[in-house]
Amino acid sequence: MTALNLQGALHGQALQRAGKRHGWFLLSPMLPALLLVLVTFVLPIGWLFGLSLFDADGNLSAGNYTRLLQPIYVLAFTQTFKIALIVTVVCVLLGYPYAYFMVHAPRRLAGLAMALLLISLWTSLLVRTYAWLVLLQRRGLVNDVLTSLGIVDTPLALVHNLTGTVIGMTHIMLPYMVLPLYAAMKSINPLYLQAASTFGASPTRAFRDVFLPLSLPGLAAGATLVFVLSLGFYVTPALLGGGKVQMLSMRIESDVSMYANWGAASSLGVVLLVATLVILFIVKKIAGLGRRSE
Amino acid sequence: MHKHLIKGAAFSLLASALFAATAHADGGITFAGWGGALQDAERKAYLEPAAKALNIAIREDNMNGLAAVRAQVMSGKPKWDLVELGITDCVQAEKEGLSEPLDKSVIDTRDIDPAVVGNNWIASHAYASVVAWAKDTGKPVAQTWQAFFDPNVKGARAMYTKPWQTLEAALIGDGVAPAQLYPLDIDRAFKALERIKPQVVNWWSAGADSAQLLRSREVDFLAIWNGRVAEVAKSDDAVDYSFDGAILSYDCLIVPRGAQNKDLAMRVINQIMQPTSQATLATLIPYAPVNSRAYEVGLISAEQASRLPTSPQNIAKVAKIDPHWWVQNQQAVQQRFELFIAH
Repeated sequence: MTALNLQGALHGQALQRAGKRHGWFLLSPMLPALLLVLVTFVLPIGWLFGLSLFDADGNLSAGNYTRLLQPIYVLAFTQTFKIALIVTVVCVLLGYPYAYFMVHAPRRLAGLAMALLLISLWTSLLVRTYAWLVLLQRRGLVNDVLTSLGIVDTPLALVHNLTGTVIGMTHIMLPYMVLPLYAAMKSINPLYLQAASTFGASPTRAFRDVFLPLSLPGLAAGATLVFVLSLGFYVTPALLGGGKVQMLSMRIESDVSMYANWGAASSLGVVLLVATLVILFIVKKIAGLGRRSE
Repeated sequence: MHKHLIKGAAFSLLASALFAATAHADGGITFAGWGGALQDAERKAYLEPAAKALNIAIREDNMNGLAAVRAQVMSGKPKWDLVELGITDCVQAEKEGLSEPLDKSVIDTRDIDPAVVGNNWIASHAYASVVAWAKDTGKPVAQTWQAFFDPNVKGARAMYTKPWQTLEAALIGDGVAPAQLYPLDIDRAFKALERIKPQVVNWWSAGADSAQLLRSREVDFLAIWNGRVAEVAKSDDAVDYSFDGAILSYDCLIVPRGAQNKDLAMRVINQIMQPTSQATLATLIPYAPVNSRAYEVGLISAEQASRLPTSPQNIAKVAKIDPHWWVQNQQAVQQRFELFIAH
């Protein structure tokens, strides 16, 4: 590499050529991954999109998309986005203080907090979901404690509904919020905060005007990750929703397994994908604006 | 789209041909069922005796319903010769032309209720959706559909997440006589469901989940399949259930269109429908015979008969599901039902 640079320094054109070659050289180790993405992601997505344009008899038709205006699909869409939004908001409210603690706590405590987060991340989703079922049910630990302490008279309906679904999904999604936040907060130079207080800013003011804006990119990354992953949830709402929570993934499943209607299922996948891309685009715009105004 | 399907099907056909090349040479058949404890019992009660009587080999596979059969038949050469499905799937399969007509000169249907024998399908065993309750809740619980659908009988309930069996239960609960259920008064059924909806804690989809809801006392009473509640009652004395107004439904056999060993499959069906095969299954798992003579061959004890919905002492209490009505109305009712649950 240094040899190439030397040559380039001697001759402008050679530098350009070497740069180009260098670029291709850097790209070549990426080729297997690129090929994998092409074969396992781009092609199936294209096929999915193609399928969605044909009806059950193989004729070109927009029927799979007009069908999505039926109330049951509209309901699944609104419920899915509503749940994803609630989970994201709760994850922000819980995750921000958690990440803040991990950055500022003594090393040992911070390490413990990180370990707890990672252990939960590494535990099977199914195990965690069933654990919540056991904890939250009518005669579960949570309700037992609440009733024996006299806080409530009758057990609360914590599971088999939206509440249980949100609790379970929040637990599963929390690490995806905390880790990007932690990375962003860790990279904030503590001298900035010191400088702020030197100039007379109260701790609250220093946090609001210095720390919070600098942590926003991490917050945006975490929130996007949580929101997008939540849109595709299946197992947790199926087990904790008591049959009352309808998410898009469940509609896709029933379209395929009950009606063998691949076109209809594909159109759902396409719409979900497009909606996700639109949201990513909006978030990027907002996050980008925030950066420019700093 | 068809091209893709055919290509995919051709691939799976090739794969199955490679796997089955040696197996198919002996002229046996391949049976596909739901798997699990049921298929274990069916192996002992149906398949092993049939294989012995006909001196053939019966291979087994698992499947998960009509969509799997549809894919196999579309491939042109299904690898299954005999498939067990739920009753509405069997009627739907006949409607879609996915099954072969049954050869009634081979299959003896004399002692089988004509209502459960179609052109292309035959019910193989019955099960019932019953009211089950916990006796240790310390307050009155529903022991009938009438009480189940009375909002003044307070208690946590659970019901099946599909409209079939559930709408029938609602109508009986609202006072419709079991014999006068069909055609179902859909509006009336939804009105009855609406009344108790706030007290329905869980709309279960898997039989195992319904058993767990009762076992953990997540609900005080629920609609549950008789086989599942019998399993719970075995280890939990404080659980009971009743066959009064139970909704009788069936699993059934079809021969996929184009099956390679069609004729042999018909002879196996005839073996499965024999009173002894039917009775043996009921001794292994609480799924009830559809051949009425199964109770006369001396295999089913009085105690076992009391737990079977088609036994002489219970058959008069139950209401039979009408699969033909469901095939006609399934899609419209299903959508309304799903909206109802999710709202």
